Amino acid sequence: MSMNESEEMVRQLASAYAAMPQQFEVDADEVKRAVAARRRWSRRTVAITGAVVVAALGGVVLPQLRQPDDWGTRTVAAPVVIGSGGAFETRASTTARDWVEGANVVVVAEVTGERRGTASGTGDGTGDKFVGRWVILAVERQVWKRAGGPALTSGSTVEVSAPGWVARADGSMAPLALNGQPRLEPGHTYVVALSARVCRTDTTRAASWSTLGSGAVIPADDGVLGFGESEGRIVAGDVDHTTPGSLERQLLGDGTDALASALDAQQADMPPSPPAVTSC
Amino acid sequence: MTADFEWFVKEVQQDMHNLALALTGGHVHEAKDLVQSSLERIWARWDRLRIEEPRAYARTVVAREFATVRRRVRWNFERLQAATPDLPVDDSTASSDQALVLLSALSRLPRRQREVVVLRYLVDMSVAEVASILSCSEGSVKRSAYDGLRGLRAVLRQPAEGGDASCR
Repeated sequence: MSMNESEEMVRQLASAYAAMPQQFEVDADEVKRAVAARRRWSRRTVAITGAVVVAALGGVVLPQLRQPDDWGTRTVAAPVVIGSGGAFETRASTTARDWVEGANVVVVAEVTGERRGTASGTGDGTGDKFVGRWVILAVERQVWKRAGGPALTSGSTVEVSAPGWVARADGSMAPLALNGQPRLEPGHTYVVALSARVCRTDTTRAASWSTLGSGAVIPADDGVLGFGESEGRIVAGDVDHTTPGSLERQLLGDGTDALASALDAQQADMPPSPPAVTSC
Repeated sequence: MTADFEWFVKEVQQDMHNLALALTGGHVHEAKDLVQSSLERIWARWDRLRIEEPRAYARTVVAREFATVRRRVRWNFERLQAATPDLPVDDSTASSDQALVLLSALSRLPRRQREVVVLRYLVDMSVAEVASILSCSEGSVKRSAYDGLRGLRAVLRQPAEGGDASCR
């Protein structure tokens, strides 16, 4: 396209743009109301310093709690308190490499039940407590397995620890979730990387299972990665709700077969580390 | 200050809406949402703002908001591109026909080319400004601008499928 043609095209565009209909009106009060509603959320932001020991994560998580913004549909009745955790975990669990290095199996599982765990103080002087939670995962399918280690068959169940609640000094309870991570809500399906502690005498049998870490769970309702529950709300492939560089972001919108391929490809590049052992 | 904001809204709303329509390729509802969220962003820091050129400022906010929202919902947005744009059809004047043809043509450009063409040529932003808003290099902006113009020219030269675009 010549320079003259370009200039002519730009002139045409400008002319057409100037001719666009002039009939749009905004209600300024509505704008103000929307901003005021959002500010009410932020005023309720809480910052709690201290430590939460989330047994399933195998490490200490320092939470900086906030109320989430209001996008998405909430799957739990009460507003969810978000803790940013993971910085002090002993094992990374975000990338395909992390999963292949640390997990024994990766499964598609539905959460079918939950129960309360023990409570521990938040350490912020408010009297608030973190209440643990255990959830039952019903395995639908094993997507990937470390060679030579324990397996989980379809139909089997495992109980793992998950983010629970913040029990306020005033007696109220608010569900807790980790920043950008699923809460593991009953009725939803997830891809979960699980690590096993195995018996010294029989490394093919798991003595116990736990999630690999705070990045070890990906929402997967209907088998689509990134769709389902996260932070107690429904997410639908929201890239900004995932961790940069994470396996979840890499495979957003894909099926579980793509996950298996990604893990297999990763495994081909590296030797697996041995699972943790325990006396049985 | 509150009254100032109402004046500001009246002053810029049409500009913002037209830019939003062009950026979204004629998706009326997305455009309205984009204007609303942009104005919310402005009102949220209204007390701290010193705006010398309301229209230019509003356009920049819309463009930045669009880029932010697009990144946030990239996956969904790209899936929606198969849908026909819901072009405004509530004005039957010749000038509005021209605008509809423009929106229709813009909606058929690849997303990045459309963004660059709209920001560079419709609201007259500099290459550097566009690159900053879209978080890409100036070279990429120039390339997309060239490709976008060429694509628009090809689209506009094609005979309308199924009749006049203004009849949609």
